[in-house]
Amino acid sequence: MARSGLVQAERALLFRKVFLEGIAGSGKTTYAVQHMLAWLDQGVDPSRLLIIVPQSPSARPYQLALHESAHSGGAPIIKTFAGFAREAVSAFWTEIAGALGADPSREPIFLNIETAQYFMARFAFPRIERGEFAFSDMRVPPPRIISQVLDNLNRAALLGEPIERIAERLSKAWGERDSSRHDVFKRANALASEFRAHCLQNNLLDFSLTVEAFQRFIRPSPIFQEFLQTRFDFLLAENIEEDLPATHDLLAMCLPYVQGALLLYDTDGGFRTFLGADPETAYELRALCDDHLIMPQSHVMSADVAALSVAFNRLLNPRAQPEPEPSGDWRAAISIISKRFYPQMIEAVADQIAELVAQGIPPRQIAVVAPFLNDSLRFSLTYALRQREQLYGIRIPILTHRPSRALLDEPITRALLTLTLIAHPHWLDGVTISTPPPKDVADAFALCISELDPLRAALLAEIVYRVKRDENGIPRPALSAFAKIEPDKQARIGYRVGQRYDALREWLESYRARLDHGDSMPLDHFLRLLFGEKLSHKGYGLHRNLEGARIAAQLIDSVQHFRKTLYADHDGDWSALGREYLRLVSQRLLPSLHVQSWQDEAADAILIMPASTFLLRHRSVDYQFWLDVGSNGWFTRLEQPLTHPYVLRREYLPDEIWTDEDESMTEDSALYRTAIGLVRRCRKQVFVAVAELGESGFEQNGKLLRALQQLFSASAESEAV
Amino acid sequence: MNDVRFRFEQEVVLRYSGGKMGISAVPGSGKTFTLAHLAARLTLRLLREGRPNDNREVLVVTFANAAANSIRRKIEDQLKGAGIALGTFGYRVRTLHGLAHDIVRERPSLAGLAQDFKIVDERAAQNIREEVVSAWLKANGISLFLSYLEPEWRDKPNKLAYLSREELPKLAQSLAEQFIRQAKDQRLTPQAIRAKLDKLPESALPLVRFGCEVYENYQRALSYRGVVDFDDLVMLALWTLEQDAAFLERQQARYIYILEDEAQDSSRLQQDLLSLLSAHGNWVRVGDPNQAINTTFTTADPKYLRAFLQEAGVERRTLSVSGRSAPPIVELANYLVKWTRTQHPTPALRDTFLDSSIKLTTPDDAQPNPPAEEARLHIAEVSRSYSPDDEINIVADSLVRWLQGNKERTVAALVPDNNHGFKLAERLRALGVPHEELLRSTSSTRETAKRLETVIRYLAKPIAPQSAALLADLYRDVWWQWHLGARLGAEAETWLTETHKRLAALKRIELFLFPETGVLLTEALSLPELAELEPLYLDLEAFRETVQRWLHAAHLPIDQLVLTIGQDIFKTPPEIALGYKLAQLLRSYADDVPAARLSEFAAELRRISANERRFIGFDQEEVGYEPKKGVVTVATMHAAKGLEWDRVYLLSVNNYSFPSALPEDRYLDEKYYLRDSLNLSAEVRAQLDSLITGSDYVEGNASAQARLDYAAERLRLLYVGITRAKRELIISWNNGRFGYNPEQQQQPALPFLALRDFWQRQVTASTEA
Repeated sequence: MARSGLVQAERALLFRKVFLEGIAGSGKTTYAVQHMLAWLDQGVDPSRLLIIVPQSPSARPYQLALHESAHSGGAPIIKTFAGFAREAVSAFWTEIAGALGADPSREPIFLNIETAQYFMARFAFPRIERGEFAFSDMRVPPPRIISQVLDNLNRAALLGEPIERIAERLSKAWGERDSSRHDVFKRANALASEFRAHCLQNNLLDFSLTVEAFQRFIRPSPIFQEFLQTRFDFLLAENIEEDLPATHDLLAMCLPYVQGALLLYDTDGGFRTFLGADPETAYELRALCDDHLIMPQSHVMSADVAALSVAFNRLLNPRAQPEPEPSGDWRAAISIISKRFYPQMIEAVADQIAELVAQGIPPRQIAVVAPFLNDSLRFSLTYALRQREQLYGIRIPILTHRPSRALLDEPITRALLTLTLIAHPHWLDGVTISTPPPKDVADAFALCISELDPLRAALLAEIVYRVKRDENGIPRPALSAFAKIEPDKQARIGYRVGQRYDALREWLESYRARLDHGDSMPLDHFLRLLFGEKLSHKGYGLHRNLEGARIAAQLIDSVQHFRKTLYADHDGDWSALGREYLRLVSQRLLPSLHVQSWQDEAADAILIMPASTFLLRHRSVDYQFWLDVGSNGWFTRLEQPLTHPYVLRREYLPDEIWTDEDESMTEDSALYRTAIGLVRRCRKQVFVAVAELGESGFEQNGKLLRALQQLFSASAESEAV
Repeated sequence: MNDVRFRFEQEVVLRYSGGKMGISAVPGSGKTFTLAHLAARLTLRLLREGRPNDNREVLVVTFANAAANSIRRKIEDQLKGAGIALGTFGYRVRTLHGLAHDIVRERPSLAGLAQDFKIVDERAAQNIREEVVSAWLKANGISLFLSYLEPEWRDKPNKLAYLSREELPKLAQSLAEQFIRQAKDQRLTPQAIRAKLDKLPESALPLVRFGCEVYENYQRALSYRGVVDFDDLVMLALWTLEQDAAFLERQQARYIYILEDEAQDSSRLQQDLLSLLSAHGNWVRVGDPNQAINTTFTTADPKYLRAFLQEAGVERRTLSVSGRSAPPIVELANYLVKWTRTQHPTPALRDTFLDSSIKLTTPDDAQPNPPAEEARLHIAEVSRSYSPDDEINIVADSLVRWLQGNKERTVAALVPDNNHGFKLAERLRALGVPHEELLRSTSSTRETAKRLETVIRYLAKPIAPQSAALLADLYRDVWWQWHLGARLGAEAETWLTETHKRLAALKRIELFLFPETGVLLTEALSLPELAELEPLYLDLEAFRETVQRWLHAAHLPIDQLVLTIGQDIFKTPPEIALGYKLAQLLRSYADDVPAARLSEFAAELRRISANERRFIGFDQEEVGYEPKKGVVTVATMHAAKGLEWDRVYLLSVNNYSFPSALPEDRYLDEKYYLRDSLNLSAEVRAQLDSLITGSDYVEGNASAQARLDYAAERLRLLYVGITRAKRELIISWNNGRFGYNPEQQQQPALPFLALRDFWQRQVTASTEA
């Protein structure tokens, strides 16, 4: 049973407004959890406590503590800014819809990124096909045009500016360079306006319109202000440096009226600046607080790792201040794994991890980060670790995570969609939706049936999977029973696997029989059933497969949202939904939204993820492996010609040209933030893995590697002296 | 480094410390070798200066990756000696396209590109062009070409129908390609061309109108896919640098020294890009204008190097001593230069060569010329005329005889075009003569693609009836020779044959690859259990594990699968680079054809490995070629550049392959159905030039100039061919494809006759002496 462990002096701060600043690992969140519990201990009504987090997973420590605590009188209100704004817009809809240009008599429909992209695509494609975005100095494929125009809309809303101003800002930042870019910005704007008009006409609220409604009409409204002044007594905001300026506005509105507040600010954070986060407006909130506390000491880093952080600070921090000589030795905190070739680097990393696990280090105390985590790297590393599991008889559970990845690129997704097609043969039209090729069916079998190797899966698919043409000449897929296979082939495949296959096939058959009897169900329900009744059970591929289950859940969420948005009032035959969804997936218009789940955090598994994703998790580990340190991905941002994360920020002077120097400075500070952020989340040791030749066969010489080279050369020189 | 002895001229070059330097080098004078050492010295100097946050680099720009790799290796050796522990700093070796890629990649949005923009290879670009041109022909018909046709072809409906069906679409394709390339080389956007065209009457410059429309649609298609072609890459790099002064300054500060190899092959874009980057003035250009052999099919031109060598403030150096060839061969090469400059019957061709002759080494040279007495020169008779097939048979028979006594020497048969090379290779195959091809793509490129194809082909059908044979080939052709087989060689031939046989005979392949618990490898393959075979079992076990890994990876997106497989089968840096490019190529194929699965990818790789199409990564050749002793290299004379063999055959030196701009000469680009010997490729370029410069366009002038340019390049090609030979050189000719028709028979090329006269005079003189 958790209770607050605050000391007397800290309790005195409960009814004050506190701005708490500290480096990663200094104990801010631990303190904040205690602070929250102390409020509750003091009898604060949880429903009058508002907790604002930059992203849903940041709420986890609070939710966990509440779960374990004795408090049962309801839960505090935990929201992201987007969630808060959405609820406010829903609540105030009838008051503001007219002013916004929407229809107050109908409910708003909130779009997520996927559905917003779906609607944007309708307007984007005709324009792209007309050549509106075809210039010799502009080559961006359609999905990128769509996502960047949406991005501009979001940024316009966050800036509180009309969308027309976006083109103007971007043009001014582009400057006098001789280019068609100015025209492109205008056309992007025209597309954004068309999309916006459609949204308003149909009461569709994407993120941008939600923010605009909130910022322009709700926030200034006296009714809302009164509501806010009276609704909450206490306020807690986590990682405000990772949040939007709009969130900071909201916090600024609340602060004068609450009895107690705690705002947490991570020095050297700001990993989400490219998503609109603004550490500077966050820091300005300090002025509205009564107290400014600083936690300068790390409770995570060992003395040696702390010395490494000092060394990195000196090397990489563009605004480095002299620091006292550390007591530890940075050399003891860093190990270099240097190999000529990329696969050698992966093998050496796998060896080192296996050694650590064999020594008894809990897997959750190990994180492997790289600037990018592509399929090949993920596969090779996980495969190499699996081999070592067999070799040394140890368990090395792993959890990988990659944001913004097309759902279709996940093998589990493809397997589920292949089974979907087999279960719904009438959805096939032979044009946009075709029968799955045998290879896909074999892959689906291998992934969904336990203990089935790829070879036997291919044999099984070759025998049982048939495509027959119906009376209209359209090919329809079908599976035959295991019992109908010749006995010697049954033996080759294996009877246990055969039984599992048969059970899966029978399940699909009975589902089809339900359909034939007119029992239509939405695609997400089908997937949920398939997962719940079959694939998550023992003997099937998603049983105890954390990662697979998460991907399946994401697919189900994605379909569900699609259905609720586009087929809100639909009833009866659901095949149109299924067909439309599959068509969009095949066009790669539906990327996934990766939501981090609780299980991830609880699992005792090695984390393998891009460095940026790891940093946003605020999780510390004993051992870190940095892969591919020669890559430029450690500091370059994702460049997007139609939008600009820095130019479209509040503090950016609208007439300034964005120069190469600005870009370089941004890179340098990104590299510093990443390196220092990682080190501060490490307790004992950083293993730096270098392949002289990158995956593409070229020599690697990015800035991080240069920095390390300098660190070691300087060290060698000082030793020589 | 201390073990290397440099010639005096090389030492002078190596003393370079800054400024502009132009080096004119003769064949075999060690220009790449010298440049590599200079690069290493400069890199070490930068590293020793060791400024904090130093990101200055020596940039070496080469024409092909083969040279880039050898330079890279040399610099790496030097750096290791200097104790550089992590990564590679202080230098960068790139081809022009590689450099452009680095620049654009650093700030893609400046060039209007997304972060993960893709580059389409030659075939994909060609497919797009084909689509665009077909659409144009469908909409506009062939009326554009009617006025250019010979009346005989234009006025007879059946002949015209044949042309419309077979020839004109190909011609339109070729014109489109020429036009787009030329426009990009001149950095002209379709919009810029359109703006100028709109000011002219509708009937003016019809070829440019066609080109512009196709170019517009081609660029639109690229834009829609979010991709760039290779020519765009350089154009965009240059454009990016010009647009952003701060970005340019940073690049200039980074590339503190720029060394350019093969500068005679510099194009206008390369020239512009490097002069922009070298504002600090530290620019060294090495080349041999006499070996400029890429002028007619690319936009390269030796005039840029020549002009640089004349520029004020440029320190001029020469590397005139060559130890490569025996004296009689050197004399023959020097004579070709002298004869062309003084006696060529077409006066306009007399400045084809710069007046530079190859000097022989001094006796104390570390790499002296082979002795004259070991030299053998033979130039075929003129009086006897052979068909191309006869010539091939004679050369093949001669190779068989020569190889018997010269297994320790290298030999090449150099041909003017790929087709001739394919036929010779076919003949050598039939005779069982060991040989390697260096034709449309290099053997190693094809071999690398082939290795990958073998893996993908098996993974596409892992358990079909023919799969055991595929698996067996996978073991023999991909696994064995790159693992244990590489060490054991012929010693383990029996094991290899036996294992291959047993794998191919597997009825239940899964028993070998995924055996049930307790089943031993030897059982699965019915192999004897012998202690001395233990290492071989272990190797086979590793093979099995690797195939298992590939099978588990087979559901990855194709590019990721290729990268994963590549980790096991590509070992050298060029192979890894090539594997990466193949991965990109297949990914872009998958984007275009979403239904494609492994069988289709294998087929695509097969087209590369079977030489059906050329695969271009960033560069023409990925892997450096090393001639092998006792193995005949069959190469085009173009591909032979930079290489040397003990014995060289130069085939097909007739007046078709080596014309002299004389009235009786025929040209590939002058189509038989076009009037007035027009070369429309040249005409379309001339029309574009006229549009841009405002000069008058006179039909036919460009065709005439093209003949001269082609003849000049072929003379230089002959020079390159001759200077490949170290000890022995045999030159022959044939009477051409239509040799059976006396009116269309080709004759020995004019320079062939001149060289033959010279050789005979030398022989006579030496006999008399």
